[in-house]
Amino acid sequence: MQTRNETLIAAENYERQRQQVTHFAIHRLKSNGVCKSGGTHEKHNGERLREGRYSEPLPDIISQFNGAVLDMFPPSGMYSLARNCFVFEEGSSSGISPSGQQTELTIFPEMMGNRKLHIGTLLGEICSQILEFWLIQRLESPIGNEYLNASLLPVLPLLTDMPPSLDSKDTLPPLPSHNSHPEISKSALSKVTPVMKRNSSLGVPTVRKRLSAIGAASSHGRLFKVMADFFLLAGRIEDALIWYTEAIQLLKSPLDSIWNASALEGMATIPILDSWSAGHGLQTSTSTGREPWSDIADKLIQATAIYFKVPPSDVENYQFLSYLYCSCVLRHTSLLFAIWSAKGWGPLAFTTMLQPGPTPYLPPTLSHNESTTWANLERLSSMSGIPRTSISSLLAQTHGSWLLHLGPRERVGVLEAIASTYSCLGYRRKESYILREVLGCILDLIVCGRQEDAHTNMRSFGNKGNVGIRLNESSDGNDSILRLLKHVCKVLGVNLDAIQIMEDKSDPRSHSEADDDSDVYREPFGWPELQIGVVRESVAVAEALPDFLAVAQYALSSLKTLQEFLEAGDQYHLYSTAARAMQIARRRGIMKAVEYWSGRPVVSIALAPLPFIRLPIEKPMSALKPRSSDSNAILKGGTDPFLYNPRRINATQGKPLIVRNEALEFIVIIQNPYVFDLELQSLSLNTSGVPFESNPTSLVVPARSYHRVILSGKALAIGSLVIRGCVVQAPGGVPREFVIPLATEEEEERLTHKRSAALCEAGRFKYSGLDNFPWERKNKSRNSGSGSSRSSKTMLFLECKVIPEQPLLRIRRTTVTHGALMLYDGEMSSIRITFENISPLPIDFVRLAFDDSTITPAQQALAEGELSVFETYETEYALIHRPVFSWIKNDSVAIAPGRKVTLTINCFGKVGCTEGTIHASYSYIHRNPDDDGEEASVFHTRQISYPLMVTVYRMLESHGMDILPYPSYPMSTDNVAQSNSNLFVEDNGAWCLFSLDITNTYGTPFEVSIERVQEDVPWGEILVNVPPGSTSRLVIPLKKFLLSDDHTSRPIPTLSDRQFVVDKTKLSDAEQKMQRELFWYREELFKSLRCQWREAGGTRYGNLSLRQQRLTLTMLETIRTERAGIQMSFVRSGDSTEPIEHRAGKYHPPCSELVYVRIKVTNLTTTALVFTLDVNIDPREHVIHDGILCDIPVGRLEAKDSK
Amino acid sequence: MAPNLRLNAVAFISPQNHPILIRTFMKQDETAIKYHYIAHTSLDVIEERVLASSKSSECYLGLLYSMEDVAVYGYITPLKVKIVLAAALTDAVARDVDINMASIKTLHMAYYSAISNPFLVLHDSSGAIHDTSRPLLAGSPKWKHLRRRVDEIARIVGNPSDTSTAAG
Repeated sequence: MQTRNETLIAAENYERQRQQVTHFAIHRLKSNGVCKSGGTHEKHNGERLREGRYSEPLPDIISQFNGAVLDMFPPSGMYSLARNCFVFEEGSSSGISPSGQQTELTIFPEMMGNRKLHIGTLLGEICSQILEFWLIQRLESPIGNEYLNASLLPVLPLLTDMPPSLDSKDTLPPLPSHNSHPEISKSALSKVTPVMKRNSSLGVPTVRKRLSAIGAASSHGRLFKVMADFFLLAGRIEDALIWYTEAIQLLKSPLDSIWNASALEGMATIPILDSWSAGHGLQTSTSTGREPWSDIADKLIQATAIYFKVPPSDVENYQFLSYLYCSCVLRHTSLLFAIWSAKGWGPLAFTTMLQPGPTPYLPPTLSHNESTTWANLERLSSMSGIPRTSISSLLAQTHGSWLLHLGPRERVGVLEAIASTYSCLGYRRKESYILREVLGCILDLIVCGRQEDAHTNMRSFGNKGNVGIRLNESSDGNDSILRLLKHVCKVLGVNLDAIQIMEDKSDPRSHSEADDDSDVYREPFGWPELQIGVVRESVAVAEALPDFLAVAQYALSSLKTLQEFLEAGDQYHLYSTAARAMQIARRRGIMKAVEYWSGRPVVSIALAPLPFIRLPIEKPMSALKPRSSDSNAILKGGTDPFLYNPRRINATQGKPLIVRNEALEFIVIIQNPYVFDLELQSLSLNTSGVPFESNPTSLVVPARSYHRVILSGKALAIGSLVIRGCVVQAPGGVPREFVIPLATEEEEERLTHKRSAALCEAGRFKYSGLDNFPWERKNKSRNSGSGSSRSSKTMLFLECKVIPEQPLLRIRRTTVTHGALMLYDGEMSSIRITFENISPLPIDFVRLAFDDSTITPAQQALAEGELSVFETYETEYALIHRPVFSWIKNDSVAIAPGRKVTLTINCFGKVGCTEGTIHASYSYIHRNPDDDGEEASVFHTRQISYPLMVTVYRMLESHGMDILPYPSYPMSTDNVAQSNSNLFVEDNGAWCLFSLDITNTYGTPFEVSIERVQEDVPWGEILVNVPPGSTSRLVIPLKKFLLSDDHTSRPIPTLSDRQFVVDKTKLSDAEQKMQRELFWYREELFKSLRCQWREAGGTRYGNLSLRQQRLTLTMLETIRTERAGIQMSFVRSGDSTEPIEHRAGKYHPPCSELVYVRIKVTNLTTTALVFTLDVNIDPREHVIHDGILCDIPVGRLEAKDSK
Repeated sequence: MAPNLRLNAVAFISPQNHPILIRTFMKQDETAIKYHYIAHTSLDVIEERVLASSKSSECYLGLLYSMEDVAVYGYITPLKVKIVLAAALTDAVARDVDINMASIKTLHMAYYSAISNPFLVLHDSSGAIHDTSRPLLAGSPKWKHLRRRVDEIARIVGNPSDTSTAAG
C-alpha cells in the first residue's frame, strides 16, 4: 500500500505540474493548445506526461491511457499524436512486469535514481519520433510538397483527404506549415534548444540522402525552408544555414514573400545560436567595428519590411500575416532588449534571450529594485549602445492596425510582450497604456468564454480542451487581472488600494492613525481625465470578472481619492455599484469587508448641555461651613476682585460633569461631501475611561451637507469618561474609528500649522511625474520631518467627569397662581413652594437663592462706581436689607425619596421688580461612607429654578417730610381734650414734630401708621386712613436727640467690603462734615420711626419706606437737641416765697418791683462744657436791670448738668 | 512650401504633469481621450530626453515617437511646461522638423501670452480646499484665451496658403 500511495503521489505531482502548465496558459491566455495555430506545442506537450496512476495490471493502464487520449483528442481530429505512457514504479513488490511489451509504454523501475534526467531523455525520444513522422514520412513526398505550395499559407487537409502515404503505421496528416515556423523558430530560442543537443546525440536519421527521392513538381523552396526549420530545431546549425540559403534563393516570387521573410528570420536566429554554442557563456571579443548583432538586426528589419509589404490577398490570411509581422518585430525587439539589458552582447544577453515568455529571465541589471531609475536605464543604454528610444520605436511598429487583425489570444500575447518590454524600459505610462489594451482583450475573451461556456454546458462534460477559457469557473486568474488593474491605475496616479479589504471583525481602533489629517489640503495628482476613465474601466472589469469585493474596493477607493473630479453621475454610479457589490458579496458568504472610505465624516462631537434641573454643580465641602459675610455676593454680583483669576478660567473650562446612570446626549456633526445620500450603517461613540453604554444608530446623511446626529448613552461608573471619537461603519464595511481631538488652541494651531505646511509644500516639487506619487510622498514626509512633532503632541479629547447618582427634585406645587405674583410696594407676603423628591436618593441639603430683576441694575450701578457715597449706601441698603425674596435658612431640610416638603419664602414688594427667580440647590451630601471610602472633598448640587413674574404696584407716595419745632406754647388747661391727642407730649423735654404727606395713588384705601419707637420715650403712634386719590399729612412728635461728634464724624459706611473706594466727589472738610451729620441724623431718624400700611379691610400689609425722603439742614437743626437748655423764671427778691403770678405761660410781675430773673442752664450734650450767658431784654427802656447782662460766667457744666 | 502639416492635437502639460490644456482638432469628440493618452504616454519619452540631455538648453525635443497614424513632437519650456504636438503621420515626417519647431514655438508664445494675463489665476489651490466642485484640470475655463489662440495657430499651420490673410 505504501508504495502505491507513493506512486500516486508522484503521479499526482506530475499531474499537477502539467495542470500548472495548462493553468498558466489559461492565466496568461496563451492557451496554445486550443487554437489552431498552436497545435504543435500541444502535441509536444500533450500526452507525454500521462502516467499510469494505479497499480493495476499494465494493460488496464494502457487502455485507460488510450481512453483518456481519445477523450481529449477525438480520432477524427486533424492532429496526429505521439503517445507514450510512462509508468513509475515504486518498490519491487508491486509486481509490475513489462509483460505487454508495448512500444508506447515505458516503465521506470524504482531503482532508477535521477528520474528527471531520464524523463528528459525520453522526451527527446518523443521529439525525434515527431520529427520522423512529419518530416520524413509526410512532407518529403511529392503530394506533401504540392500541398505546401498550394497557396500563400497552405492548410493541409484532414486525414481523410490525404492519400495514404507510403510506409506509415497510422495515417498521419502532414504538418500544417503555417504553424510551424513561428512556433518552432521561437521555441528554438527557448525551450526546445536544450533538448536539441540531446536529439542530435540520439541520432536523428539524416534526411539528405532521401532528398533525391522527392518529386519536383513545383519549387522546393518552401520545402527547403521547412527542412531548415527542422534542422534548426534539431540543433544542426550548419545544415539549417545551407537549407535556408537555398530556400531564400528559391523563394523570390512575390507569392512566396512571407516564406522568404520567415527564412530570413530563421537565418537571423542562426548566428545567435552559433555564438551561444561557441561561447556558451564566454564573451567572444568582437573587435570589429560593427556590432555583432547588426547583421542579425538587418536581417530582421528586412523580414519585417517584407511582412509589411505583403499584399493583402485574402481576408482570412490577415490574422496570420499580422501575427507573423508582430512576432517578427517582437523578435527584433527582444533581441535588442536582451542586448540592452545585458549591457551588451554577451552571455547574459543569451540567457535573457533563452527565457522569454511569461516569466522571462531578467538580467540582474533589471531585476533589482532601482532598476527603473533613470541612471540605471541610461547606463544600460550607454553601455550597450542601444538607446531606449530605438527599442521603443521598434515596439511601436507592432502597435497599430496590425493588432486588430490578430486573434484575441495572439493579441493578448503580443500586447503582453510589448507591455513588459516597455515596463523594463522604464516607460511606465506607455506600459500602462498597453496594459489597458491587454485588459480590454482579456475582457473580450471572458465574455466570449462565457458564451462558449453556455454551449459547452449544453453538451456533455468532458471536452477538456475547452477548460482553458472557462475563466468564471476558477477565480485563479482574477487576481492577476486585478493586480494588472491596480498597476495601471497606480501609474496613472489612482490608488485603488486606498481602501483596504479586511476581515470583518477587525478592531476598529487598529488603524486610527492612517489619515487623520485627510481634511488637510490634498494636492491633486495626475491626469484627472485619464484617471476617471481608468477608474470606470477598472470597476467595469472587476464587475465583469466578477469579483464583488474588488468592485466595491475600487469604486470606493476612487470615490475617496477622486471625489473632486468625479461628476455627479459618476459618483452616484460608483456608490450604487459598490453598495450592490457589497450586498452580493455578503449574500455569497464572503466574510470580508471594505475599510471605511468616506473621508473623514465626523466633524465634531459635543456634549449636549444637560437640562438645567439635571445639571450638577460641583462645590467644595467647605462651602457648607457658615460664612461670615453672606451679603457680599449679592452686592458684587459675582464680580471678581481680581482682574485676572486663573482659577476662574479653570472653573469655566473644567470638565463637564455628568451623572452616573443618567442618559447623556452627544451632538455629532457628520459631513457628506458627495452628491448622493450617504448611508451609515452604524455610528457610535468611542469612549475610554469608565464603561459607557451607548447604542449605535444608523442614519442617512443627505447629500452635500452637514448633518446633526444625537447619540445618547449612559455612563456606568464613577470616574472620568473620555470621548475619543466616533466609530463609523458604512454598509458592508468595517467599522472605523475617527478620533476627534478637542478643538483646543494647540489643536487648532497644529491643524493650521499642518495646513500651511501643506500649502507651502504644494508649489514645490523636487520630483515630478511618477517619482512623485502622493501616497509615496506622504511616507517620505512622515519619515523625514514630522516624527518628532507627532510624538510631542498629545491630543486632548472631550472629557467628562462622571459623578455619583444625584437626587432629583421637582416643584410639585406653589401657592402662586400662574407663576405671577402681585405685590404692593413694600408689601410683605409669603409664598409656599412644595418640592418633591422624585429620585430614589434622599436629599439632605437644600438651599435657596433668589434673583430678581432689581438686583442686576443695582449691581451694575454699584459696579460702575459713579454713585456718590450716599447713593451707594442707599443702593446697598436696598439690596441687602430689603430683598424681594428672602428665606429663613434652615439647614436641616431633608427630603426622603418620594417625599414632599414645603418651604415658605417671604416676599417684599419692591417697585421696579418685574420678575424673580427662586433657585433651590439641593444635594445628597452625607452618603454612606462605604460608597466612597473616604470623605469627599467636593459635593455636587443640582438646582431647580422657579421663575416668577412679579408685579409691584406703587400705591402710596410719601413726600414732603418735614420736621418742625414743637410749639412751646403753654398748654392751656382747657385744652384737656387735646391732651389725648397724639401730638400732646407730657414730657417737657425737647421735642419736635415729624410730618409726612402720604398720597394714595391707588384705587383702594389704605391705613397708614407711623410709630415712634425712640428709646426712653413712650411709644406713640399715629394712624391715618388715606382714601384713594387723597393726600394725608401725618404728624407725630419726636423727641429731639443729639448724636455725639464721634458718631457723626464717622464716614458713611459701605455695606459691602469693597476695597479701594475712592471718594470721587472732592468735598471740603466742612461739607463733608455736614454730609456726614446729615447722614447719621437721618439714619437715626429712620430708626426711631416705623411706618407701616395696611390695606383697609384687607389682609395685605407692608412697610412704607421713608428712604426717599431727604433730610434738609433746617430739619437737622430742628431735630438736633440744642447744646444747652435754658429755663427762665422770675423769682421775687428776698426770701419771699410768693411766687410771681404765672399764668398760661406768662409771668405777670408787679410793676416797678425788682424781681430776679433765674436762669437755669442745662448742659444737654454728653460732654462737659463751659458756658457763658448773655441776657437780652427787650424793650430795654421798660426794664431797669442791675448787674451785667453780657458774658455772665456760668462755669463748667458736666453733661446733663444744670445750673 | 512644405506640405501641410495636419495638427491632430496639442497638449500643454504643467511642470507637475497635470494637463493644462488639451486641444484636439479632429472632428469626432470620442477620439479626444486618445490624445489624452498620447500626451500622457509621451511624458515617458520627454522625461527620458530631458534627463538625457539635462545640460543642454534645447527646448525642442523633436519627434518623440510615432504611433499608428500620429507623430508626436515634444517641446519643453525652460520652466518645464511641456507642449506635446500630435501631427498626422505622413511620409514626410522627417522633413517637417523645422515647421514643427516653428509651430511649437508659436504655441509656446501663445501660452506665454496667456499666462502673462495678470488676471489669470494659476493656482487656485487655496480655494480648492472648500470648493467641492472643482472642474477638471484640463481645459478649465480660465484657459479660454489660450484655447482660442491655439485653435488659430492650428488653423494657420494647417493651411499655410492663407497665412497672410489669417495673420492679418
